[in-house]
Amino acid sequence: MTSSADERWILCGGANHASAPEDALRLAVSGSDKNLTVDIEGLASNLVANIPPAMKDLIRLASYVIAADQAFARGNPDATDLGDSWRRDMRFVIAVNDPDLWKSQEMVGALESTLGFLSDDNYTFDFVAGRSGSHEQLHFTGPDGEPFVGGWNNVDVVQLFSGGMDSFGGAVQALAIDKQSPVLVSHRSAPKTWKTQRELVGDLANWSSRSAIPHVGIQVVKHNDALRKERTQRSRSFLYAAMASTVAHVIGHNKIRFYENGTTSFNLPISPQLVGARATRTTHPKVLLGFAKIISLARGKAMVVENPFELKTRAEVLDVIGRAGAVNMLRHTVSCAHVHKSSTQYPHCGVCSQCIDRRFSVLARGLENEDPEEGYEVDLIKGEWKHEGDRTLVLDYIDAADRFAALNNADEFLGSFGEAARAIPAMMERSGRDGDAAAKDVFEMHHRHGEDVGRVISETMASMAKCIRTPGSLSPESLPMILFAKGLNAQPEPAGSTQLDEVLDAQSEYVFRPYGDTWLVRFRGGKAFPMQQNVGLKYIHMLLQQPGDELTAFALLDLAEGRLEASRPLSSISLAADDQALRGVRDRYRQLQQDKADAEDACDEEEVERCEAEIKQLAQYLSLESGLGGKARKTDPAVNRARNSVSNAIKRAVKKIKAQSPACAKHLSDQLQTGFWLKYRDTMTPWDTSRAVSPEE
Amino acid sequence: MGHIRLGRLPRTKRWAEVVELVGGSASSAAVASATLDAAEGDLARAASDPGVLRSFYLLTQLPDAARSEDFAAALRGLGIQVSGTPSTAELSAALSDAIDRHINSTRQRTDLGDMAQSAAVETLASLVSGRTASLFGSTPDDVRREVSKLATEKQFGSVARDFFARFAQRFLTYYVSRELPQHVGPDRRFDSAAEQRRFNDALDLHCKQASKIVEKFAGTWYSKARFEKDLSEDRTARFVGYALKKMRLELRRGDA
Repeated sequence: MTSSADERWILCGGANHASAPEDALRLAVSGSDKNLTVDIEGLASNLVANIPPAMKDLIRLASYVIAADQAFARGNPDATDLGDSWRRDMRFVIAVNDPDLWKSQEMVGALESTLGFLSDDNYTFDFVAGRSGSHEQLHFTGPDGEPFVGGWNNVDVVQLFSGGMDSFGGAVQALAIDKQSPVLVSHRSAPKTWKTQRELVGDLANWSSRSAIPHVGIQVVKHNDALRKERTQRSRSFLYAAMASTVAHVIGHNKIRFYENGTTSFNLPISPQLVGARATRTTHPKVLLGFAKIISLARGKAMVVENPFELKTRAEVLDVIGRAGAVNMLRHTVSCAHVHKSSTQYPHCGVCSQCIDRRFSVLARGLENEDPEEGYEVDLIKGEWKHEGDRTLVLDYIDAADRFAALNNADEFLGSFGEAARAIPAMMERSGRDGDAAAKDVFEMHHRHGEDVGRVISETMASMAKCIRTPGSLSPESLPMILFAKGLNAQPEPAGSTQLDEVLDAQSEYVFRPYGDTWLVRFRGGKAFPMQQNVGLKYIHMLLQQPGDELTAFALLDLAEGRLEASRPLSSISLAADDQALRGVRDRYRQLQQDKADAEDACDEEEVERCEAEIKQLAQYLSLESGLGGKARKTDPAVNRARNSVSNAIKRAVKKIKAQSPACAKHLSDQLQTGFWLKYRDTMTPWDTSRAVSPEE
Repeated sequence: MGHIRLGRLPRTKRWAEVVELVGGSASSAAVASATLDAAEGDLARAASDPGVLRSFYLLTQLPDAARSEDFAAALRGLGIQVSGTPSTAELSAALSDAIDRHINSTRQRTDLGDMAQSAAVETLASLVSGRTASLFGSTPDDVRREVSKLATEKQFGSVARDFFARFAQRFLTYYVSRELPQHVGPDRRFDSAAEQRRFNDALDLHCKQASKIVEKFAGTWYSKARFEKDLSEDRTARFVGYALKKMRLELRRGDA
């Protein structure tokens, strides 16, 4: 196996590897180098004894993966490096009880492809035999210090429970609609989250008239800050699946359930910047199928991992809760992704993707009284979307919903959201449905979601029309104003102020014009700027007026001084080029030959013809001046003077332009050929070089 | 769950012009041009990206697979796992899966590869479904027939144009989308979300117009490569590099 320079080594459970670097990350849940504690609360002690070594290995493996995920930073979200810093190469060497089981090609393949898709990283796994006794080192405690002893014999289903609206809906579905007895498995990500989860489980037990509902909480405690560098935790659901399947295994079940609404589960990118797992794939169908393969291989027996809400929108999850008569508990669920920011007063930040989706769903079903706006730090409608990232998120969310609603069928959907195709093979494999049926289901769910969001916006806006029309009623940063206001608060420009942009044709994005005694320049639609008169600008202006044409330095000198007749006819001087100019022409000649070969390879006849014409022109020039490989002839001193005078003036002018617009200066530097023969090479940029009327005129 | 990580354009010298143009009144074409300058070299990276190359390579192989005696077997030979003659949805999904597996095997997941993968799926789905749409839906045989028709010079030119337009649009909006929503609302560039959408539509149109250049030669290239029985990965990779170079030049035009 080869190792890339950027590969991060992770040695787990006391494992070593001859090629591992000195600074490899070491993770252990036991022994003297222990830096993780896997704490499992609530599992009955008689069941703990039944956990087979392979399932303990699975839990440890998942703990190592999530710990490594948090140990290596992914770089700045603002990075423009095309994901180089986002993705990481991670090589795990893990001590396990049965290396042969874990080293099988099928297992390694399932791990690397599932986790790679889940967290958008590249994984490599090596497995070695573990040290004696390591498999005993998971930490089990009961709720409130006592093991949970009751209720395990009648369990029907094992399901994950985060305490959010969806998993709450899943518990309600199991208890009231399916009439099942669930075990709820929670990730204890923070004390306040665990408290919410425990209270909700208590509420559910009371509501369903049960003495208790089995509830298991899992926590991976990291013992030092080096394991807390990255917060994205894209691989976290692997740990949840490992824990829930272990619980299912010890009680003799072959199925675990995640409950997450379908639009969140698919999590299609609502913005083009959300490439890869920037939008999480925590319960993506492809991921859940991958989990099932890994777990089934580990336990030697099939394990189903499913999401019964896969084809329900969040609003439709509310329908489930409503049908079961459990909406009165809705206000106690917490869906917010910013757990660290939540407070008793505001359990929901209001601005994360989960809060936005939850709020739209609540409004879509008219359940504002059950989930009051007071619980949101920023209210969706009346709140201020001041923070740039928040504003981007809410507008992208609405835009995506509108696009879902505008589509008519599954093929159109796949033609617009190619990412959706990634889920279909997994849906087909798991359910045996054909691709058309799966695509239709996914499309229809997103379409319904889009229509719900659109309806909420329409109805809200209609009810707030008066506020929108009344200046000061709503903050300009509120959603209605952002979406619909036509500059109600716009202040007119002070009278008399002259804006250079006003004198320009709105369509002219590339301007280089004389303007009174100055010059007016605008590049690529940017802000127009004035330039003080100088002769270099005049030369540039002349060249821009004749893109692609070569002019001599003599001609530019004459024109700049208002002489229309040539003061130095070309026939009167030696036009010999100097060595530097010749080198430039030869380089260009060689480049053109390469360009022509590339164009021929791609069958681009137009480009071949263009290259041939220029090659012919340059060949003639070189032949006249010196022969293709020869030295330049001696140059007429008048030519040198003219060349230096014009070229230097142009370079000085470009330097001054750079102070106003570096991009414009760079463009001109790249495209202006200086020397005795001068040319603006770019024939495609539409410069407006006409004279502008100045204020005095 | 369901978290999203959004960024914005860095306030560095390199990106200052793009930020200014998006907030000002510049056209989508001008913003595209400035973005290409700021993302200097990034588009060129696509010419050697395994995901990009695989995405386009598989598009070049589909028409001949559809013309073979056993379409499904030919697809499986390309790593596109289908159970039988596929529908549009199944073929699109299997194409996506094949690209994913290839990327996984090379251990080179990249944003560019991801963009190309989505572009390839969307090109296939939209071209085929557009041609097979009828009141009675389409059958797998319809899909096979329409995919096989993409082997003509003219039709493959459309495939290449559509793919490169979508890829370019994804590439540009990957950056620009970080900035646009900041400029929606009272006293900002876009009075309403609809105005911002119009800008996006114009950028999309700019990419479609720029991709005409690829359509001009892609069909001839494809026919020649098929005639010479050399529609190889190497040859396709050279074509992708050339097409991207031409796209870049076209996209930088102010009036494309």
